[in-house]
Amino acid sequence: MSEQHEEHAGPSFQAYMGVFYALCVCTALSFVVNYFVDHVMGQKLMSASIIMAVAVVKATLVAGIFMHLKFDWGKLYCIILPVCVVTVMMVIILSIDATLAWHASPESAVPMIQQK
Amino acid sequence: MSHEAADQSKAHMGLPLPNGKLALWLFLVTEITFFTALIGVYMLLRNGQPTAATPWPDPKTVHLVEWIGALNTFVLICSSLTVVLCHWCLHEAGKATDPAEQAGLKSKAVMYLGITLALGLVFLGVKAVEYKAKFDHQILPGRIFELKNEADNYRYLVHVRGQLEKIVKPKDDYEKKHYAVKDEALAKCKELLKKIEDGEVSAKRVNETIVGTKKVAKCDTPVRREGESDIDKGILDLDPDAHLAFSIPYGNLWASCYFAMTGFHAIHVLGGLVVFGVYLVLALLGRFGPDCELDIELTGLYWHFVDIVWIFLFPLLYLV
Amino acid sequence: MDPQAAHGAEHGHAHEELSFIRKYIFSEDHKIIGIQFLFTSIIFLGLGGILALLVRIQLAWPHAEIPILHSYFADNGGRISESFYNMLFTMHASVMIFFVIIPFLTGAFGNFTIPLMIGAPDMAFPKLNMMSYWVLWPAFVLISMSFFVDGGAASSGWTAYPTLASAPAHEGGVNSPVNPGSSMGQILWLSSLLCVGVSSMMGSVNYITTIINMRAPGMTLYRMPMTIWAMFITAILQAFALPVLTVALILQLLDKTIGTTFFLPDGLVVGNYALNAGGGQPLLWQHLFWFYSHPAVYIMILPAMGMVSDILATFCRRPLFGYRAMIYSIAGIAGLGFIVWGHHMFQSGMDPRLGTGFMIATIMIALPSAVKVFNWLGTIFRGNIQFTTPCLFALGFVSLFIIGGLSGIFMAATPVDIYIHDTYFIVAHIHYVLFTSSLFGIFAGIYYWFPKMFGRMMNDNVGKVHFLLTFILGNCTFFPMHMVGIAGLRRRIPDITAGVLEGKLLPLNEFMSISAILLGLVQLIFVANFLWSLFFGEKASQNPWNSNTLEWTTGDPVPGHGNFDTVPNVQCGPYVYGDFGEKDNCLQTVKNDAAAAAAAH
Repeated sequence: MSEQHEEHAGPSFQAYMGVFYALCVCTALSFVVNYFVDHVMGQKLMSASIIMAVAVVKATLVAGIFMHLKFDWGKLYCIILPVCVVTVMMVIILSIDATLAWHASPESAVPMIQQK
Repeated sequence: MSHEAADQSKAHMGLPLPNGKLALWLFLVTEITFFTALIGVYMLLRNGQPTAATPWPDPKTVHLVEWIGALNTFVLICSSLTVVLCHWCLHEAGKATDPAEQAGLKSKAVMYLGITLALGLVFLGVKAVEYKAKFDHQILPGRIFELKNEADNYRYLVHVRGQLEKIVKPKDDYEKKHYAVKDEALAKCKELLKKIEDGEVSAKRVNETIVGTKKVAKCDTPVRREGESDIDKGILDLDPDAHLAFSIPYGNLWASCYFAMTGFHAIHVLGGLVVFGVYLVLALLGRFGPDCELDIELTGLYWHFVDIVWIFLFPLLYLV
Repeated sequence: MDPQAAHGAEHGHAHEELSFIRKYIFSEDHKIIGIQFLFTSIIFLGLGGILALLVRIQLAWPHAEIPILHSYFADNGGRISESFYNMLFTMHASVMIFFVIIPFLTGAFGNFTIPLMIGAPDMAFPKLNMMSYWVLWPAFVLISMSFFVDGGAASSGWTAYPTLASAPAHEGGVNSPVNPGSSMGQILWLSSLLCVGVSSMMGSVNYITTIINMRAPGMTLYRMPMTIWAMFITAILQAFALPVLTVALILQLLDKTIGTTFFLPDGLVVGNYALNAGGGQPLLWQHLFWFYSHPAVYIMILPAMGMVSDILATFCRRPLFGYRAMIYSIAGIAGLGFIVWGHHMFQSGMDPRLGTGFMIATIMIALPSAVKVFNWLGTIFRGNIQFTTPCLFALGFVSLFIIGGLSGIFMAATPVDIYIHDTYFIVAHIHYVLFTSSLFGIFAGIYYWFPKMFGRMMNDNVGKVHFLLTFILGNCTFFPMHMVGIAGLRRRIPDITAGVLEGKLLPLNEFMSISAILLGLVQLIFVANFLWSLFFGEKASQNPWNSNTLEWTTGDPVPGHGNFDTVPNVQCGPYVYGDFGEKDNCLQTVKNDAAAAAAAH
C-alpha cells in the first residue's frame, strides 16, 4: 500500500531532530518571556502576544513536519482549512456577543434620560 | 465474489490517500472543533467578567506551577519526536533489503514506541501530581469559597474556624506537626479564632485578616466600615504555609475551566497510550513489523494532534 | 491494481456462512445496518408521535382528563401536571430530532444508499459502521429510562437552556419542586445525546471517506446522484458541527454533577438554596447549542432534498434540471448554515448590529433554497409523470417545503421575529419543514428503496391512500399553527385558556388536535403496509422503477454481500432520460450514443 502512495521521501532523520530542537527552544523562549516580560516588566499584552505567536510557530512545526502536512497539504487542505475558518469565526462572533451584548452590562440596555 | 480487474484505464477515483489516513484526518478535524470550542469557552469566560478589583486568579493563588507545565510540554514534545522516529524506523525497515538491518531497525522502532509510551505515562503522572496539589488545597470546582452570598459566607466561617482550631488547639501529634505556624502568626490566629467564636466578625473580615488587604488581587472589593483601618499584613503574609482557606474571586470558574480543559486533554492522552500499549503487546508477540507502518503513522498523527492541543493549552492556562 | 482493494475495502472474504447473529444483528454489511437504523427509527417515530398526541390532547382540552394516563394524575383530577406537560414537549422534540429524523436520513438512507449508488462493495470501515449503530442502543436505553427516574424525564425544552436545565441536580434535592426539569432526567438526556453524537460522528467520518475514496471507476464527483451529494455534504455538516454540541452537553453535565459553573451566573438562587459558585454565562450555552443545532436542521433536510431530486427525475422521466446548480445550492445552504445560528437568539439581548449580520446571512439562505425549488419544478415540467407513491410524496415534499421555507423568511427578519418568537408560528415552520418535508422525503425514500432493501414492492394503492390522508391531515394539523401563532399563542404552555386572548384560540386548537389524532392513526396504514409487504408483497424485479442509478444494476434485486458481481464501470451521469427509441432511460453503466448526441445539440 505504501508504494502506491509514496511520492516523496519524507523528512529525514536530521529534519526530525532539527524540528525537535526548535520546539525545545520555543518552549524555553515562551517560558522566559512569561517570566521577564509579564512578571518583571509587567507588559501583559505584549507577553501574551509573543507567547501565543510562539505557540502558533510550534504548532506549525509539529503539523508541517511531524504530521507530514507540508507534503500532504494539497490533498488535505479542503478538509482542514474550512473547519479552522469556521471554528475561529465562531470564537470571534462569540467574543463580539460577549463584548457588545446589552445583557452583560445592564447600564447600557436602557438609555438613561439625562436630568438637566 | 470476485474482484475482476475492471477497465483500469480510467484514473482511479478519489484522493491519493489511504482510507485510514483520510478518515483519521477527518477525525482530527472534529477534534480541532472540539478543542477550539473548549478554548473558546475558556477565553470567553475569562475575558467576560473579571474586573480589576476581582481579577482572574493568578497561578500562585491556585497552586499552579508554571515550570511543571513547561516540563510537561517538553515531555510531550519528546514523545512526539520518538513516535515519529518509530515511524521513520519502520519506513526504513520496509525499504531495507538486508534482513539483519531490517531486524535492527524493527527493534529500534519498538524501542521508540516503548519510550513514547513511557513519556506519555510520565506526562499523566506529572498531571496527577498537579491535580493532587489542587485536591489538597480544595481548589476544585464548586468547592472554592468566593464569599458571594450568605450561605457561602457561613460555610467559610465554619471551615476557617475548624482550621484555626487545628492550628491553635491541635488534638494530636499529627495535627500539631501538620498545622503548626510561625509564632507571629499564631498570635493572630488565636485572636481571629476568638472573634469567630464570639460571632463578632464577618466572613469578609476573616478573609481580609487571613490574606491582608494591601494586595487587592487576593481580596474581594473591600467594604470599609467607619473607623476601620486596612489590615496591612494578613496571617498568610506572616506565615505563607499556614493552612487557612481564603476567598479566590472567580476561583470556581478557573477550576471549572482548568479541570475541563486539562481533563479532556488527559483523556485523549490516555486513549493514545492505550493504542501504543496495544502495539507494544503486538511487538512482544512478534506481530509488529513494517506492515504496521501505516498504523503507526496514523497513531502518530493522533499523538501529534494531542501534542499540538497541549502546545496551545499550556500558554493559555499557565502563562497568559 | 484494483482501486477497490488498494483502498483496503475491508470485508470478510469468508466463504463460510456467517451465523445468524453476525449476519443480521452484529452485521458489518451496510445494507443490514441501514435497515437496522430504519426499524429503530420507525419505532421511535411511534414513540415521538404518541408524545405529540398527548401534547395536542392537552392543548385542545386543557381541563379534561387525559386518556389512559389519568390514573397517574389522580390528585390533579386526572389532568396532567405542568411539569409533565414540559416533559412531553421536551421529549417529543428530542426523540423526533435525535432518534427519528437524523437516524432515518443519515443512518438508514445514508448507510443503505451510499455504497450502492457509488458502486462500492461496502463502506470504507464496516466495523466502525456497525459500532455507529450499536452505540445508539445505550442512547435509546438512557432516553427511555429517563421517563422512569425520580423527577421524571428532561423537561427544560429540547433546547435545554440554563439556568433551568443547568442547575446542579443535587441542590435542593432531586425531587425538589423548585428545580423541575433539572434532575436526573436531564442528566440522562445529556448522556443519551452524547451517545447519539458519537454515533453520528463515526458515521459521518465513514461516509465522507467512502464517498471520496471508494467510488467505482468512471464515477466522477459530477456523475454522482444528488442523493450522494446530499449525504456527502450532510456528513461534512455533521462532522464539523457536532463536536461543539458535544462540548456544550459535557459542560452542562459537569455543571449538574461536579459543581462547575460554566453556565451558572453569580447570585443564582435555586429554590431558596444559593449556589456557592457562579461567574458563568448562561448565554454561552445558547451559542454553543445553536452553533450545532442550526446545521442540524440542515442535516435533517438536505438528505431528503437529495433523495427527492433522484425520485423526481426517475418518475418524471426527465433529467434533473440544473444538476450543478443543485450541487452548489446544497453546498451554499450548508456553508451559510454555519453562520446563521444567531437567528435562534434574536431575543437574547444581543447587539442589534450582530443581529443584523445574522439576519442578512439567514435571508441569504433563501436563495439557494429557491434555486432548488425552481429546479425541481423545472424537472417536473413537461415530464411524463408516473404518479407512484414515492413520486407523490416527492411532489408533496416540494410543495410543502415551499410553505415551510416561506415561513422561515418571516422569522429571518429580526423585527418580525421579535413578535413571533416563541409563538406557534415557529412551531408551524418547524413542522412544515420537518414533518411535511423531511418526513415526506423519508416516506418517499422508503417506498422507493423498499424493493432494493427487501426484494418486494410495497402496495402502491395503499401507499396512495397513506399519502392522500397524510397530506390532507398534515396540512390540517400544521397550517392553522401559522394563524394561531400570529394571533399570539405562545409555545410551551399547557393551558391556553389561562390568557383571555389565547383562550379564544381554543376551537382552532381542537381542530388541529383532532386532525393530529387522525394523522397519527393514518400512519398505522403505512406501518401495516410496510409489515405486510415485508412478507407478502409482490416480488420485485431488479429495476422496478426503470431508474438509472447504480443500485438498480446489482445482480440480484436484493444485493448480496459485496453488492456488485463485477465492479461497475460508470459511463455517464445519473439523469439520462429522454426519448431513446424503445427506452426512455439509460443506466449509468451504459454508454448511450443517442443520449450523447442529443446532449451535444
